[in-house]
Amino acid sequence: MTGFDLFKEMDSFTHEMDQVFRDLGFGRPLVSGSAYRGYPRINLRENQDAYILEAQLPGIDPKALEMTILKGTLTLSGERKAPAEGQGTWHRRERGYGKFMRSIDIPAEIDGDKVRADYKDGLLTVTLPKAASVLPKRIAVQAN
Amino acid sequence: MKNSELTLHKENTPVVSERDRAAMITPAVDIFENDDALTLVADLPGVSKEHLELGIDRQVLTIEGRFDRAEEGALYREFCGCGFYRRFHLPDNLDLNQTNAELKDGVLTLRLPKAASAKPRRIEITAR
Repeated sequence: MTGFDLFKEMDSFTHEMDQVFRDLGFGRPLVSGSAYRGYPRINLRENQDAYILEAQLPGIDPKALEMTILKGTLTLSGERKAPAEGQGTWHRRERGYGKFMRSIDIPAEIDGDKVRADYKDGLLTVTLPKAASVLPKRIAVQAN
Repeated sequence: MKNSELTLHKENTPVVSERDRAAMITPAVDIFENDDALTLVADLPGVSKEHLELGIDRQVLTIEGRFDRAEEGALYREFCGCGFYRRFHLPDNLDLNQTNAELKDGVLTLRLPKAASAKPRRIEITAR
């Protein structure tokens, strides 16, 4: 049997340091009041017409993923199934399994009918178009 | 004695500087061993096949995944777009020519079969 020590990890110290620092405030969320961290990890960005939410969901069947939007709150839920275990030894078990649910507040009004979600390479990308009422409007000036 | 070789190897190691690597995320992995093989499973969300580099050099396995994506207009961030990087020192009882890697939905599954000499063998006892 291969011992745990034989399967050595390299450079682990620097990376762990790095993550400790990250948790202390580097790369902290830019929006206040939303420092909560759950599963899945998310990024939210915006462009002119839409908010774009990305969630890290590796190894999930997109059909088993549920997404609802209610009054500006988007809720994601699903389950990551644990792999079948055979006879043997685990040397590392860092990947988590189980059910999850996460709610995200969308910062402005969106057009709920036009929301689109794509799942690719374990990343869920949700495009939330802004509602017409919050989009800037161009007003033509009449020349008299 | 092997110094020159080592330097050369370093120069050949590609693309990213050490500083960039320090900013990369350490992916979560599972490592499972049975009689036939070691199986390593790594979460690499957002990494496509084209952006995944897997290398085994002198018993060192390197996993490096990158992704290209828009970063502008960020309102809230819990993960960075800087990619994944992790290295492992492999035990020497593996048959590295039989390595098999699969990437699906952002999950890498790497099967590293053991060398025939490292597998447990049953010895038949003949009765006379």
